[in-house]
Amino acid sequence: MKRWLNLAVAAAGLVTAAAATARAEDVPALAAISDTAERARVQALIEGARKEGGLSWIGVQIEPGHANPILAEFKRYYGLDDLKGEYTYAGTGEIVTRIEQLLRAKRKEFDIVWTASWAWYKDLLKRGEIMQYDSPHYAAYTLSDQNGMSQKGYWASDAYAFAPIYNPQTMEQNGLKNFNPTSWNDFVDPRLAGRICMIDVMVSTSAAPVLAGVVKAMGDEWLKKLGALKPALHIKAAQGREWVGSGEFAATLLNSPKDALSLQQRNIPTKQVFPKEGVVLIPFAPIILSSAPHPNTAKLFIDFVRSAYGAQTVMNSGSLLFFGRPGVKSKYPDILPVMEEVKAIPFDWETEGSTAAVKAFREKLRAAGIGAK
Amino acid sequence: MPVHVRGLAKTYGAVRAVQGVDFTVAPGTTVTLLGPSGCGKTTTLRCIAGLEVPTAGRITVGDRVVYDDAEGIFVEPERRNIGMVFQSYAIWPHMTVGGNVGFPLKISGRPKAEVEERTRAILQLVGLGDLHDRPAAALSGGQQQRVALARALVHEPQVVLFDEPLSNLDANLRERMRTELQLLQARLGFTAIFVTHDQQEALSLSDRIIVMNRGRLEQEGTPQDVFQNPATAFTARFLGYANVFAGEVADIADAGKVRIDLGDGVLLAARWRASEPARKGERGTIAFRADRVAVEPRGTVPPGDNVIAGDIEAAAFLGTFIDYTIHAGPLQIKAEGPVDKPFVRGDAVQIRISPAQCHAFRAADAA
Amino acid sequence: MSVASTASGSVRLPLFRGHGVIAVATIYAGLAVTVVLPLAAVLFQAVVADEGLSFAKIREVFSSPSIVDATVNTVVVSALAVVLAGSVGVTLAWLVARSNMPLKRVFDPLNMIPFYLSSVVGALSWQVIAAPRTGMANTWLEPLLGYAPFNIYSVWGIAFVLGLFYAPYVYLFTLGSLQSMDAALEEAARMSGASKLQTAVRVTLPLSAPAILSACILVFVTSAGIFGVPLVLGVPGRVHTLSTLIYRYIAEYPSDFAAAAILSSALFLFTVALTALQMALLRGRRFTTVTGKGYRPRTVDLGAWRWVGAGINALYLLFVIVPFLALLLVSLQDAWTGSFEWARLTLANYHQVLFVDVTAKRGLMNSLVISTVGATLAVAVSLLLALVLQRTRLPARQGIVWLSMLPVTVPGIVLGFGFLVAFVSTPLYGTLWLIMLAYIVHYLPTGLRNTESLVQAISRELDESARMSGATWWEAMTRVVVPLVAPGMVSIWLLLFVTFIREVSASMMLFTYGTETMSIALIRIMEYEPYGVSGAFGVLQTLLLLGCVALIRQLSSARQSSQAA
Repeated sequence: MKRWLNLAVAAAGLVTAAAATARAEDVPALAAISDTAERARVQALIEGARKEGGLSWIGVQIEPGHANPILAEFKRYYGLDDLKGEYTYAGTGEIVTRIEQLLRAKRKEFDIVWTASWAWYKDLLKRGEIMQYDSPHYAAYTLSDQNGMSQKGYWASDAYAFAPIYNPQTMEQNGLKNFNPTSWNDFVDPRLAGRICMIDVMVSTSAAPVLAGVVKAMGDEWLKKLGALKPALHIKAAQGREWVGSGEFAATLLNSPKDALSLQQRNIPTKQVFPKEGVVLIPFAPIILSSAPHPNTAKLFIDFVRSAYGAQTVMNSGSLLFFGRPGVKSKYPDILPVMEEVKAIPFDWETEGSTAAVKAFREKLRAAGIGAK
Repeated sequence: MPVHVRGLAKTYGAVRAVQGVDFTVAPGTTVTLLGPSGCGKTTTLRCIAGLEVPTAGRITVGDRVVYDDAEGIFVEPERRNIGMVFQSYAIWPHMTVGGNVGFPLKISGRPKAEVEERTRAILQLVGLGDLHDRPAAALSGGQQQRVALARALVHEPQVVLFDEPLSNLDANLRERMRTELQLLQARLGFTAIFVTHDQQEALSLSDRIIVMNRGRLEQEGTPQDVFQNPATAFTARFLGYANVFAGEVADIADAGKVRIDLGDGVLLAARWRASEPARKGERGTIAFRADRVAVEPRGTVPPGDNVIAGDIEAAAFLGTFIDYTIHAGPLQIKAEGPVDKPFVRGDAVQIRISPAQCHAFRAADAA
Repeated sequence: MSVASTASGSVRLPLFRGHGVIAVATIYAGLAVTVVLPLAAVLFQAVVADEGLSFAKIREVFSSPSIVDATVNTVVVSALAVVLAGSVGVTLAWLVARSNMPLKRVFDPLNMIPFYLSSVVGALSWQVIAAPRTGMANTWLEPLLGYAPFNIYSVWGIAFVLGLFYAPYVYLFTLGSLQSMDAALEEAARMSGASKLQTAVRVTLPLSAPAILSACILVFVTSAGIFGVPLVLGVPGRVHTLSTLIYRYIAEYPSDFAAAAILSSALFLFTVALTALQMALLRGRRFTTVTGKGYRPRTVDLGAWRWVGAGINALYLLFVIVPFLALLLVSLQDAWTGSFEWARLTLANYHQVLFVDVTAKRGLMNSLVISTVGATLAVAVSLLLALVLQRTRLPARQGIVWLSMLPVTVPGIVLGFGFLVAFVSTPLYGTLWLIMLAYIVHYLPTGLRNTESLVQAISRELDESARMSGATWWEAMTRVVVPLVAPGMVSIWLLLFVTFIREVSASMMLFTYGTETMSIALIRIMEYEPYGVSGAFGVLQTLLLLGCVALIRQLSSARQSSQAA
């Protein structure tokens, strides 16, 4: 009886393996690989992924509506039709809290974390919570390397940037005709007093270092002028976007190009500015948690989103990012240039972006009259 | 089925509602617990029902112990097979009349046909034969009373408890229900325990009356006995003895006869009602009924034992008699006189009261 | 209370007591886990740091200027809300109960409506009216005044919205007190030479003072603990309150549970103190003003002023209704530019929340599930507790009352935080059921108090007569008491359902991806969707709540007319 059972199991295993191999022939990802060793590696991952059957990804910036096409394309590309992909869209703070809680409780829930929290990543890395995985596609992430946004064997980054968005109509109503800004200085014009808003740098984990970078480039005098404008703070980028859209404020200082796009698509004539002094690139990287419940799938996913094809998929989904590899075409060139064309303010996320540095910077902001006392 | 209550006590926190009550109810008889509100009569009844858990004592229904603190026995009310009619009738408004009355049968799992049959039979008996399917919420007070009665009797309990069942009815209806209850009891033969604060109801319904006061049993006896021979000043007062006065034992004659000095030289001869003999000079209380007082023009009879001179202070015409308030020395005496020979305010009269109608108690008894 | 019986059908007393002890112990254990544990966890977390008992952190937290600021803001916002809610509530209650204001019957139920609605949606819609530059009221008034008079993103704005939404609390309490007041007390004042106004001010209102004060304290406590409104309106104007600060400590990176716990404990102790004050007020004077029942107080003839009264009442209703209409307009625009534009008319926002946005769809479904199941469980638990409290002689019942009533003093955000701390490492964390449990616990006092009064209204003799008819305790309850309270329980169910549908604070602490409730979904949607989409979702939530309100009214009026018959 027992022997029969063993036999049956073995037979079933054979059939499954055969089926898997047969299907693998139609997988676009495999078809695109010429190197046999790499092909075998990917094939093994695909087979592992098929057994795992799921992928859970938590992240910021990429909105739920944009994640679905990425996941769909990922499944198609690797022939993972039965994969149950789940994306959790949350704020950075929430994600950190959640993951830390899960780690403390030793619960495996997420495979991929995709945020812009450099300092936290470094901390996780030190604690061994990030899975080592050197995707072959990392080699093409030269822009990421140049800007110091790569961690060899663990991650390579794209970037997003916060830059001013303004509403020319509102500017005009407020007496700023032909407002044609090119510099951060144009946004501390005294005539903008009470007319400008920005993301709450006292709360947002990513916005505070960005502003710190701008202040570093522009000088403390600039910060003083900004404080004098008494900018209103919004918790989430969308609120600033809607304010600029409705004309409640003429400009929001630190928003993403996707917000400008959202307004333009609704026929609100807004403009995105990338000032000549540069912007701080916020390294935005997917990592695999050591505790990932679906490690094979997670590795494939990293391969996918770091590949030329996958990166373009992410771009086309509507997630407006600067890609860490050259050659990804911007879908909306008038709003979003590619990374090669943007001046970056040099910024060391490890020191200047550390918790302590942010804390100190926030004190400086308070002194300048920004944020609650 | 007899009911025995021994040493029953019930306390609520510091309040001792019932303290050491003993009595027995003979099978098929009616006993009334009589007393003012707060005397412990309802608590006693609810302890028999099982709706209260006594603090101490022993209660048996028939030969079954339903409560005994020493043995740790407490039988839940639903297992005592006792019927009860509540003061508010407690008719369930969400059921029909038949649903109410048939409930005790249904809950004990009798077949539907039997429930129906017995429900209709008992409704017939209480005179509500045609109301079986009527919603219970749409009944008059008298009808509700009958439904409550039918429900208490339908499962043929050997003991039925009545908590002031007639107090919510108007006077006419009360008379009729009183009679009907007696007829029903004669027919069904259950043992009945009543609770009431209405002495008329108690006197007319009961085989025996138990007067309660402050959680204790004050007096027990037949209605005639209790009414004519109150054992304490409290009982006397509660049974409508309008004249109760404090005084001092002046002298002691034979056969339990004493004279009580009420001050200002007013002395009344009376029967000593306390079990222990009177001592000369001790404080005593005297009680007599207003309708036992004869009111006569001053000088009709020579002054003597139990004849006191007084003046009419107030006279109130009450239909069948006149209610007098008479000022006599230190006393204010209530008396009833015939309507055909009325006195008016200020008339000089003398009152006369037979020593046999005067009850004297030890002062400590006077509540 | 089932009963084990011996052959003779009698029961040993110790056994009887044993059953009671088991029942009571079960209740205590349940309350300990759901009420005491979360609160204890908060207090524990506040004083115990990694290195043991420590007050250094407490000192550090309270020396932070932003906390001092937030504390001041919390007190000021709550006080202003009390002033607004108090004056509006008392005025309207007096007009409805004691004057001959026209349209009273119409106004009375309408005045209660904000009670059932979501104040977050209120905050969202007031932005349309009173945002500093593009708010409709401001754009209309600016040309006249030369400046924009309103700024909703301020302490005033928050207090204003809270005041509007809590006025019904004061209204309800005062109305109850005025309607049960003996008219002779006022007539005596008139006979002593007082005018109508003097009578109202010198006699009527002082007699209602305990009720009014108690309602005001309730408003103060609720305002101090509220989270959604300051989140939406306060942050843009850099106004933080204790509750938004607590949330920030949890949500920002790195999160600071200890600081959140310290603030939560402080807020909790503060609200406990105020609630104790409220109870003391009620205990002392409640029964002095309330006398006979079924009594209809006489009304004061206001003459021509009665139209002014009606105007005041109508104004209040306008303040409630107009913003929602404005939000409706916003929800029909592809982008909000400060005014309605026909060219921007669209239903796409509704399509988005109903069929596209996963968070919105999930929020709606989650809330419907939690609220339906939660309200049912809460009603069941309330009923069971009410029966135990009112219809048994089990020992230690007073303790059950205290424990079940404790959550009434706890702001939702503190309770939510407590549940977070207590259950974060259990499998319950991250499930809808934990959020539901928090709801049930938080509104157990509401459910229990209402249920108890229903049970109390059923004469004990009704179930005692069932016992005497041979029914066990359980049978007496299920066949007599429960059917009689059932119609009232439906209303309590709906009240809890409505409360759960719009709950914000506890959910904010406990939701995770996938367990967003409707209010959380609204806040999330505001984070990335256009204003019109949030507006559409807010409008949907409001319509759902209004539907429930209509149902509650329908049921209670049906019950009243059936009782009258």
